Amino acid sequence: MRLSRDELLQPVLRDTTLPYAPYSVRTTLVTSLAGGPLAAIAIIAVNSLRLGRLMRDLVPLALALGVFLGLTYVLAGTSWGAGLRASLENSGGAHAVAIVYRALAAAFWGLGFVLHRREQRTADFVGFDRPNGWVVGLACVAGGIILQIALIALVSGREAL
Amino acid sequence: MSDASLQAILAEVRGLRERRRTAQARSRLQDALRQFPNNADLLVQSAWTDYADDRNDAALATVRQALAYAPDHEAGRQLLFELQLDKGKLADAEDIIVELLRDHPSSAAYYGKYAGLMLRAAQLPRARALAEEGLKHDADDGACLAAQTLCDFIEQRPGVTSHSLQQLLVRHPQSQRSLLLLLMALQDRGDDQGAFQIARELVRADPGREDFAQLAAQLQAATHWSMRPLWPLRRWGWGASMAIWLVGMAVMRAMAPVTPVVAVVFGGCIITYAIYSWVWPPLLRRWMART
Repeated sequence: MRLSRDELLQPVLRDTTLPYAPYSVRTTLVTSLAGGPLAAIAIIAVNSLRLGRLMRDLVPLALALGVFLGLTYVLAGTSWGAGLRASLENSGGAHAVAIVYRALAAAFWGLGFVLHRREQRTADFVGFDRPNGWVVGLACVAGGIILQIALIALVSGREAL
Repeated sequence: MSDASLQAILAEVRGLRERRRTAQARSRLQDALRQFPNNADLLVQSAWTDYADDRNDAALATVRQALAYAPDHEAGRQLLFELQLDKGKLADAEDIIVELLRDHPSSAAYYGKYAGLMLRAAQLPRARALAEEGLKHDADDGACLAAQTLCDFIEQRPGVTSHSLQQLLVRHPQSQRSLLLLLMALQDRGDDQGAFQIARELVRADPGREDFAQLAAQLQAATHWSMRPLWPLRRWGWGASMAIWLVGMAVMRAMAPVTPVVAVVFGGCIITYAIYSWVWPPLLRRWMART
């Protein structure tokens, strides 16, 4: 950042919305693993909002959502996907598809980790008070699971169990 | 009382405060203020003494009184900056430090303070730019080097040595700030034992500091024998958590069709380890802080 001395001596904080401390990496990890890909996207979006960088993160978040929707459509809504599902379940057991979704959630958590790495380290080193992650974390987990079940049911045209 | 004796009292009070003999400093100030109730220097010293004793409300009231008599009083404005910063009024603190910098444009210390404020506001590029500007005026300034070191910690990969920290340790080897930043660097690279040794030194040097004692207790907990199983998580952080989870799940799934009982036991071990890593460290820290 190249600023002249005069620019450096212009107060900026009155016109700046100061970011709130993000939810901790642990909160985002637990939320992602417990709630799946949608919960992971939701908790990353909440952190983006708290950090005042939602617009900047919109493209990667939309891409992540697109990957999730694409995978769900392929696995639940196409005959090719049904074959893939059967193949996964044959080789990896009954929970193989669930594992694929958890792995995707883990990848999304990694995306959030990379996006907000600097802000998370700032919070650690400067000593910001972290918000309690229980309420938002549980809401993301519950919302993520319910939406995922509803979406699979919608795409496959049958009730998902 | 002559001006010379007033200056002598002020010098004595400053000395007493540096040696943390604030009760004695306060007594001397009360005597002097009885004779000069509107003297800005005495009021500011009184406010700094209150601030040293964490009586921030009293300090704020007194420093405002002093600045009403002498609006340009430098030490008074410095204290007001610190008080606003402690209250979290960052924009107000910024106005004060900017004014101080306009009056003292070559003061590296003020650039360092401003950089510290920008770090509190999470304005990292500006914090670094201010620290760099300050170092142009005084390459040894501790506050600027400390702000630059924190920027390095945040921006660099964990474990990478900060050049600013090296400079800080060479130029201010005895300062608490240097040791604290070294401690943070060691903690960041997972060397809790080294960090604990420094925390003990900090407590020995300043036994009255509650935050140092808490830090030492936390690090003592981190180096406790019961934390040894969690060493991979301390050393490699979230990467290790994710690796354990992924490898654990893959191994469990692979074993399930062959030996279901072993797979269940293995899964139970992974879950127990995860719960242990979340529950035990905070409990141990609380216990250590009490003892």
